[in-house]
Amino acid sequence: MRLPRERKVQVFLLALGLFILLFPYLLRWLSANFYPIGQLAHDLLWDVSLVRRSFLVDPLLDTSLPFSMTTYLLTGFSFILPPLLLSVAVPLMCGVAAIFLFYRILLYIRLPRNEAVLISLFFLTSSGFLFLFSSLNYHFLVLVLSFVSIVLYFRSRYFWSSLFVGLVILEDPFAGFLLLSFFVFFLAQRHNTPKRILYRSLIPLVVIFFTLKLVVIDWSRTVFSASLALSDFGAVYGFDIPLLLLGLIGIVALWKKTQLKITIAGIAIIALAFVNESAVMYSLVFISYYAGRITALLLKRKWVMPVMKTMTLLLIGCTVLFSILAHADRLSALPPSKDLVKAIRKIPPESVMVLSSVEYYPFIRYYTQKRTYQGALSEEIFMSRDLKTTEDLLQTTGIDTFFITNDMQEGLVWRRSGEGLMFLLPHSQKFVLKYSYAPRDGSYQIWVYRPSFEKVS
Amino acid sequence: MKQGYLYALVGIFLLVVVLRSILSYQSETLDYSSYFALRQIEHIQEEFLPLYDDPLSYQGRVFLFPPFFYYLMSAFAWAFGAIITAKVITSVFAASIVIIIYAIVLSLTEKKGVSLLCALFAGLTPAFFSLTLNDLSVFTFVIPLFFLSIYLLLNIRKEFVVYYLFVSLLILVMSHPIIFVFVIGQLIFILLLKLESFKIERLDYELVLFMTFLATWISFLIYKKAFYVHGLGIVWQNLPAVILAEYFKSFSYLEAISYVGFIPLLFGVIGAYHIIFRQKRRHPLLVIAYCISFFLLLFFKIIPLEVGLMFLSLFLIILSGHAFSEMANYFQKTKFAWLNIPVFVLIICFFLVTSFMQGITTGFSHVKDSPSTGDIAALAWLKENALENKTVLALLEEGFLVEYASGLRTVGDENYLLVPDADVRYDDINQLFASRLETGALHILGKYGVDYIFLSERYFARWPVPVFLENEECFRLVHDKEQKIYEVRCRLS
Repeated sequence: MRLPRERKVQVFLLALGLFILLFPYLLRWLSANFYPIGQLAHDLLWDVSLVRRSFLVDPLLDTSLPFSMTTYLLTGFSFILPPLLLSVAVPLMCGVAAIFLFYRILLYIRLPRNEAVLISLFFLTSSGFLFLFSSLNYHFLVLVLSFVSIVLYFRSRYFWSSLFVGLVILEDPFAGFLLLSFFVFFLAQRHNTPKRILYRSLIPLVVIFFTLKLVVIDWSRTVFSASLALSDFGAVYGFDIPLLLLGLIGIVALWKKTQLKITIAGIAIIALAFVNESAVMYSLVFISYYAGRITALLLKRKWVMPVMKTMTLLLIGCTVLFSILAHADRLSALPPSKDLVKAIRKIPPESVMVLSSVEYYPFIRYYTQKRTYQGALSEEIFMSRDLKTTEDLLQTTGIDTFFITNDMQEGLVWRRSGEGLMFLLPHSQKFVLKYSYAPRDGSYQIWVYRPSFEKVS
Repeated sequence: MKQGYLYALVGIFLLVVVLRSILSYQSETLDYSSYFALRQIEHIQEEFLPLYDDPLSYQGRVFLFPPFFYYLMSAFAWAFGAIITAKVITSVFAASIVIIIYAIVLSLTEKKGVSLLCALFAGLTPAFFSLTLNDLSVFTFVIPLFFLSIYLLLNIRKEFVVYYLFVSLLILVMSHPIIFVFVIGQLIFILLLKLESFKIERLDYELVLFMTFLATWISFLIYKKAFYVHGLGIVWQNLPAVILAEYFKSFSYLEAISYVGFIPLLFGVIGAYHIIFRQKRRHPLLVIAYCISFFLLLFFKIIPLEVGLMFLSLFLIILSGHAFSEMANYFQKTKFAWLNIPVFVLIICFFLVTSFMQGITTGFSHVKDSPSTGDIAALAWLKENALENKTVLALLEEGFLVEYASGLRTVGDENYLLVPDADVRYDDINQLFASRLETGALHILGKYGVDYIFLSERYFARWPVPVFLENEECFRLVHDKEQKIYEVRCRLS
């Protein structure tokens, strides 16, 4: 049976998307690491385990569980899927849905098919897409709901569209604010009767009033830094340089061919993505849009030197491909490693409170159900070389166990050997080394504090 | 007459080669940074691969660099030997700037006499002449290649030139990250064209796109890990903050002008003024665009000052060519046409007296600043008498030399990329040599597991023996000549 051309394109995009999303897991499983990827995944899995047991308060953090549709969705699936499959299958399904919906949206806005395909290709080969849908996080559901609301709007199902916008606002208020702005900015003008504009403006005005406070809070969620927004510079969730470059070239080159409001919105969202994580996924949409359109233009255009055209397009393909493969490799190497989990599981059962770097807390909580110290005194305890001072701090905070890794000793916490607590631990008999493990990729130590130790004279 | 210019050009080329070679041979050794290249050449000759995973530098680290230059040098070293390659072959590459600058100025001015003059200046300009002398430096190859690419860019509409440009850009990107300056220069060029109301041709945009993605892709391939580790800081190559802060302090304005050359500076500025404000022409704007890009890179401390001065001096010479050409045209139109030759003779004499002599003296002192044969002998002695896997502490600028000559590990050298604690090591080494207390010194020595301390003639030219080395029980003097090597025998418990 021969598929129609449109179907072939969709099947191709979905198949490619599936491959890209599964690639980090393939690399991970080849090195016999079958743990979910990253801290966020473990945070979510921990929340899911609490919701399944009908907990409303996190017993390890003493905070109430935040409302999150992602958690509830995962909880629903957790009855039929084990944790590893849960962390793979649910984002994967959402990723497939996102590819399909994104492509439909591009056709709804009457882009030529080849441009829609190119834009979709850039979108699904972006490192942001890979992060969103290859591991558990708080954003993948928001993007899918956003796409659903837009598709429903184009199909004139306004009520259902508004409902999904509401769901986005509930899940991520800032993302919801951005989505609403998109609707008001772009789509309300399709129906230009004053009553309808006013009617549609009322809802966003009400929401803007309530979300402004959240905007102010969310604004400081991330500090401006290229390292936090560019995946090639170290960000786990960001945009990659080749795509950003193409997108910026597209903005400049298509300046006169694109409506000014789209250009302004695109630039604003991209700038916002450097200071707010919620804006990253929407900025990926805009960057992919411009990257796809400029590539289509470059393909169509008659170059002065055809050989340069071939080489440039080949280079664009190679750069994008290299960037995504590098990011997949990086994602596959994210913690926890087998050795890290093995070491964490050696934390003594009688431990009450564990002190370590915040990077390891989601794993410690998930694999040992131990409390972790996240107060303001961590830094002071880590840097203290005085036994009396340290003991006072430990008694105040209730910390009795230390989980130390080589990363912590090589810059994560301490910069020099024998600094602060690392001087005290091996030199005081009040601290006992319960476990030491030094595999190829690092070293792990578990120290326990014994306040009742008395020196024998 | 035509052949006369050709002979003169060849003569200038040979003069520069011979001068450079003679000055290089005033020292039996090479500049300190050349020893990194020598190690790479030896490794390529043995293993056919560059030494990326180095167990010696920083007691084990990974190097990231484009390898083309080292492969080329190892091919020459296989044929002629390492020392001849370092002293003569690099001189030949550096002297090729004479021919390239001649070609560029000729295509801009269409005056052979002026082009010849600029070629002479380019070969003898103090910055490029002295700072690359006796140095197996990648810049002896990259700078001529860079200007060759500019020449090809200026003539891209001629048949087959685009293929030569592809090849030269490919070689350039596989030799040094300076390709990014090429892209920035092109972008500034397009901006200048817009400002000067020139029509921007499609080819200009296409070239920028091509070069941008070529540079990005190759850089990703080579520097992927450094991008992850350092982020945007890779632009400053992880230089310790102290070095970055003192970037411009080692040069005064007068010194910088003397390196660039008074004549190229003066006439280069006049040429630039003329191009921008009087006679708007497209091609010379390209040269101005690259001047601006190097100024910006120097301003943001993205390239070392010496490198920036080398490029700027050559660009100013090209712009001077335009000024000389206009001056010659002006004289021709007036009653003072006879002044043409005397004025240019005067300019040449002034250049020879100021810049050329400056270049020779600076070049000579640069050559004399190379390690002494005694240093090499001392390190060779250490190689014979010390066990493998021992660590040597020396000045950071001597790191490459120690690694090459002794085959032992070092605490640090001048390549900081991917070194996680570069700032800390830099501070520790400086602190150690200034330390008066034995405990403090032993703490630092123990931290890095130092087995030997090497104090070279260069060290003694600036500082006395550190006070803590007076304890003979802890620091045994194992080699005592103009250089001293101490064995560390104590550790803090």
